[in-house]
Amino acid sequence: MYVTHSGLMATTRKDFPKIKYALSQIPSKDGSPVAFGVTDFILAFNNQDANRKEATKQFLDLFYSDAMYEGWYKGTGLLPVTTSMITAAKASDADNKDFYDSLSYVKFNPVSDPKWDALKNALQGTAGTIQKDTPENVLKAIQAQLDAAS
Amino acid sequence: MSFPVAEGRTKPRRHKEVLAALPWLAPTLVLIAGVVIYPAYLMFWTAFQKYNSYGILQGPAGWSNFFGKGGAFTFPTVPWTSVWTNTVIWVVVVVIMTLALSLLLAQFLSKDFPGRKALRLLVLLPWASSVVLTTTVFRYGLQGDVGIFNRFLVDTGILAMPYGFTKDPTAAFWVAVFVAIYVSLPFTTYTILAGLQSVPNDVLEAAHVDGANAVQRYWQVVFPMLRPAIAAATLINIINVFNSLPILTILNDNGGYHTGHTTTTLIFQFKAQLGPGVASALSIANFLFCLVVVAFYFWIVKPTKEVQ
Repeated sequence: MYVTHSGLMATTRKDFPKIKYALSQIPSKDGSPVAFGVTDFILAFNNQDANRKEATKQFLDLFYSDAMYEGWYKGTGLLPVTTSMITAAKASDADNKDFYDSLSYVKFNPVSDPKWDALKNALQGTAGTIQKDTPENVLKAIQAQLDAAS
Repeated sequence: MSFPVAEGRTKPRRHKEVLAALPWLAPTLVLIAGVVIYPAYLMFWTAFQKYNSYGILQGPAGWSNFFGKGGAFTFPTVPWTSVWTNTVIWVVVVVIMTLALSLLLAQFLSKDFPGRKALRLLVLLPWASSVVLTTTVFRYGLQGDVGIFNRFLVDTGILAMPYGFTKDPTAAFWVAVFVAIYVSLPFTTYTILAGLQSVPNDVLEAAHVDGANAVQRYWQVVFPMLRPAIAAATLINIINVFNSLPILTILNDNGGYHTGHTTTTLIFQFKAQLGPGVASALSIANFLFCLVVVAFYFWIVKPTKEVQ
């Protein structure tokens, strides 16, 4: 039993067609559905240049247009992120039905929040000290790093 | 008779000589200016500018990269006592052990025996391979489930179950000390071997005739003559080991500001998480600390003292 995603299931179906498996929800305390999502993201630098900003906007519009994006996301084996593609995929893609259902309650890392980088570093570095320290001290240490890095 | 005019006549000639030499010196001067002086100046300038963690310049910072809210010395949860003691132990233990083992190895390699040439070439191997390659071999070897060193320790009964060496900052630090000694041995051995070749045989024979045994011959005759070679090797080793980053970083698989950091690895942690400004601030402190260590070495050991 392990936590999986649509890309892994695609590989399983392709390379190990004889395996019998079933997909189910991640268990939660009160039975409500839980899903954690991971996405790639695109970072653009603000060069205070209106022309560059317009060019970036045009590039992103082209990249995520239906004509371009369909071929792109199908090659990755992962779920699409544009609403038009999701609606189309819900109708056509039966293999990943459970994952499309979870899109209504999925949660992602708040990557666009400016404080997220500092929080991620603090969590990765300090969360492990809960082995030897009280939860209050661990949280205080994480908060102190967040305040210092902002 | 005195020649008071002579001095006045040679001065312009010396100036002309310097000017004549300038075209030959120019490439070296350009290289030194470009590769040493300009980056050092840039590092000092960067330490007083504010950057975000992506490296975007955000204006002047005064001293806040050093002592401000998120400064190099005031950032919370950094275990500074561990960092300073680790740095000192790292340099002292690695340099002293390397020197001791190299003296032994050089003495052995200076004797004549069949296969000496092949053995001298083999000793060169850890220096010829990249440090990252050597360290990665150790890191994979210490991996918990399939690493050969861990499996060896378990199968021979030394350990009851595989130990996560790379996950424990202290264990990883001491493995790194071992690897650092291993990769520093060839250079030091060859420097001392070169110094040994210059010890004249007749001095040794005279000592033997005077009744000195092997130990006395070594410590009273050979060792003082090795002083220049030892001085050169130790100084270069101190600087290299102090600035050594890959060994410690590759063997230490922990996140955050753990107790296995030295000042050099801390600089790179700051660069990744807090940006170039804070990292440059700590780099300046690191550079001054290295100068202090080198000055201390010269003061205590006096390696360039004349051989009596």
